[in-house]
Amino acid sequence: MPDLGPDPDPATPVHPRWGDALLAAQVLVAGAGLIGGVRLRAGAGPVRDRWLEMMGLMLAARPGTAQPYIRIPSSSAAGRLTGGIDIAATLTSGRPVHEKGLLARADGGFIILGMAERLAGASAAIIGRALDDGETIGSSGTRQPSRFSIVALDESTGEDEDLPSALADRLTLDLRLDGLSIHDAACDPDLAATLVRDLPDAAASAQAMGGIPVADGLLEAAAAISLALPGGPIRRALDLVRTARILAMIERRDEVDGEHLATAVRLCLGMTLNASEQPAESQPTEADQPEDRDDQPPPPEPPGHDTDSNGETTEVDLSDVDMMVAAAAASRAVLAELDRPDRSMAAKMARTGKSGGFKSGSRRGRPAGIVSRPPYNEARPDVVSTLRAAIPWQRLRNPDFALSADGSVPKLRILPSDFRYIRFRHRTESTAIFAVDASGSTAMERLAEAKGAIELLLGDCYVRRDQVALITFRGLTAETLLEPTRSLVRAKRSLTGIPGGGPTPLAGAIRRSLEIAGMVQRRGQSPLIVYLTDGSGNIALDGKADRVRAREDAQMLARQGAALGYRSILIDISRRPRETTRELARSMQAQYCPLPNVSASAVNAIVSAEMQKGGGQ
Amino acid sequence: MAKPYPFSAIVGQDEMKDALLMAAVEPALGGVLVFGDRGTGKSTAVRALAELVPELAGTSGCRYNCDPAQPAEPCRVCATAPKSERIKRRAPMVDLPLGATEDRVCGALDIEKALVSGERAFEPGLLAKAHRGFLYVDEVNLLEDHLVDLLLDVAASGVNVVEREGLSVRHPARFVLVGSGNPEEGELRPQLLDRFGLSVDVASPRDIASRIEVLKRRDAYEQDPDAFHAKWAREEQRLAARIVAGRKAVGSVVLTERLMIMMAHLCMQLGVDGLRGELTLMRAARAKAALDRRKEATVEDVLAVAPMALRHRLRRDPLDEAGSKTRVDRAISEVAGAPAGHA
Repeated sequence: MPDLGPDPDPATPVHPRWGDALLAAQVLVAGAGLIGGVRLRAGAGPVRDRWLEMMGLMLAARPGTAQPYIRIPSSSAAGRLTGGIDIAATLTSGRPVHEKGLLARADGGFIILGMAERLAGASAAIIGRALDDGETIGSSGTRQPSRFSIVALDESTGEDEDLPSALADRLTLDLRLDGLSIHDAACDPDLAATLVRDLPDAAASAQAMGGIPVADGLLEAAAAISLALPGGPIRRALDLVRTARILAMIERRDEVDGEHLATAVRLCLGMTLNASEQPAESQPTEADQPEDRDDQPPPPEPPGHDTDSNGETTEVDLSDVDMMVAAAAASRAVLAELDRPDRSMAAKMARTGKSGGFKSGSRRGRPAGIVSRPPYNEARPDVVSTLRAAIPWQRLRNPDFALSADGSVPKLRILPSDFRYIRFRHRTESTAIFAVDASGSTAMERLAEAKGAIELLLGDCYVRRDQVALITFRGLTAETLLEPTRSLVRAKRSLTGIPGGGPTPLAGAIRRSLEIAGMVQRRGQSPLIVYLTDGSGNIALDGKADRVRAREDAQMLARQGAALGYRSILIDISRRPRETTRELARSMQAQYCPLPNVSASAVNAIVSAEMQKGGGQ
Repeated sequence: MAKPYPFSAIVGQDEMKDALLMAAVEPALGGVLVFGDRGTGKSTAVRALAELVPELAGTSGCRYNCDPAQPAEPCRVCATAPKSERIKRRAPMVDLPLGATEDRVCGALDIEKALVSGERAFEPGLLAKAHRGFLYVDEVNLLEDHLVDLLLDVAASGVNVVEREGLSVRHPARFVLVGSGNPEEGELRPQLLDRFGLSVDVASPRDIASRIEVLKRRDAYEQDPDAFHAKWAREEQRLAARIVAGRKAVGSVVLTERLMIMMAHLCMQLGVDGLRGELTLMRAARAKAALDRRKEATVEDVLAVAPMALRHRLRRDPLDEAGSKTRVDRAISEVAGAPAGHA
């Protein structure tokens, strides 16, 4: 029985999701270097540790050459990834010694990327290139074979963090471990050994996988499913086909069948295709939907099982394929939801234990040149550039400087004047968060002007690299329409068709704005909250229509915002500005601008001025 | 590295392929900017392009990719090497990684030489490596601005000048700059956009049939790259021959007065600042005609290249809902409708 992953022996029933997790591990081990890797969505904890341990055990138990299993922090410098000068060895030997990059060291095996959501864009691009090319080019220009797969530990909890898309796009599998208990997570060496017993040798994997044909119908299904995903990424189709092939290889079949593809969909997209999708799932009720997915184990019977009951037919059941395509199309809404980084309300509210990333001046950011004076206190000199500065002087400082025939090592004389530092440039970017009152009768007009202001701001913020976010509030809740973005394209897309009218949940809007401001600040940017409202909230935080409570809540949150030190502007858009609104502005220490006739350009002028003022902070 | 995926086997994406071929035929065009979603074959196409370009004469051991007829001034290998050292090499396709430092791009002091012999030597950077070939910047919109400035400057002047660490070096660096990126992740400054010759947008194919074709070809390539190449060798040779012929002919393609007037009208209609739009349009029309083995550029050539030559030069009006492509198309139909009246 090679297929122990999904259907283990009935005596000790394995939790179906843990079964899937093990199957994913099996696919990874079998496809090391052939597939991009896995996005492992789970908090740090025993379940994740067990899964990683299982991976390690499986790799160890697999016959053949040892496969590397290297853990690297997401803060690894780009130079370390591709390899560069080994400083210690260089200094002792007196000639540059190049060391192998981390990626090249993982050739044929795995890289575990801790806290992948904190990975810098440049590092992600380098890893992405290596995944594409199967080799890295070190700083000395040497090509090193680097065929590896990534285990990206994704601990992102809210909408403020996500894997860099250059990496996320190339990860084949999507595995979620949250909600699993430690008791479900069986882990022992024997199980690991059984799981890898029947895998072909590491060297033979590529050959074995390549020989397995995939029927046209299945290719069509894969193409259709990937088309139904938001953005229609064609890489997903390739991933599905590859994963299905590996699954077939694990089961030692000579052809890929519908069941393999269905399982691949489950593993790659983190969803179960089911033609009779519960209608509840496609309803856009945001509150209960994520809950649904979190608690419910995937329905135990994937559609592919139908083919299985037909016996060992190697022929593709076309109706099955059609059904899959239909199901994929039906779950488009679910997929769109899946694609969004925030998944559970609880996770969104749980703001404790967030990873750091507070603004730290110019110690972070991108390297922008080399200076001879420390750019900040306790800056460490950059060794390579220091050497570069010192070396031309060695002959003058030390007449004996040369490699002597007996191989004795020359001593470098480095003076304090040689020290060179890397200057990091970190633009103090500003993010304007618009909170726009969409309630009442003038909603549409105000919204249109707010939209205009946002587009105008984005139109001239390339140079300043500022970002813009938009929250609207009406009815019972405040809604984030536009996550902080700098992209005019994206802004335009999400600004079309905003509904208006209804009561005014001002307190909720302030809370939402503060949340976004917090997230912006954690990214190292300075937030500026712009409220466009008439200041008369009538929905309290708990969603009840109570004018007095609503005002108290709003005042409380306003003070909180002031205490947190966020800059804000309150643009009063009521026909007759009232004292209560002014008072609210005072509580949040906001700049108060009565603007009875809202216009996009006026709003833009106010916000631009404020953003430029705050840019130097 | 295994041979890259063949250029001619890329499914669809005709506009991008045309733009790249034109840039290969006419290096003076100023490079290509490819904007689009991830996984749409941008990198694949660019890497495949280098395989189509004819091999270059060079000298073995030369680190500046010199043309033996006119070696770079700082290149000692080419200055002294006998003719027997001449070799043929592939046109370079250099990738500029996002994390690259200025040192790495322009070149810097050669530490090894300095340490071992105390000699102050220059170690050429990526720009020297890309000389006479292609320089590909993926995610150009995420590249640090000062690097983008530097690249565009060198691309325009064809010379890399390094003045640092007591070094004073200048060497030729003529390359075709190809940038790609995803506009949703951040945009390029307009003044940088304008310096790219052509700009194309790509998207994944939206019909199942071509997606399946992509899957099949990609699959076949991954199974057995050599067999796949053998299968496409003929197509590749034909394309390569077109490029060679195009390069020879591009200088002598005739542009009539009438066409020039039409181009000027098109640019005026769109309110394109400066003359770079007209110049690019002219060169692109020539390159297109040369690629299609014609001796004279036609109205169709101009109309075909206008969107990619002008799309990124329009003044942005954030409140105009219509995309820049629609605006170009609109102007084209207006100008194309009445060219005779102006002639």
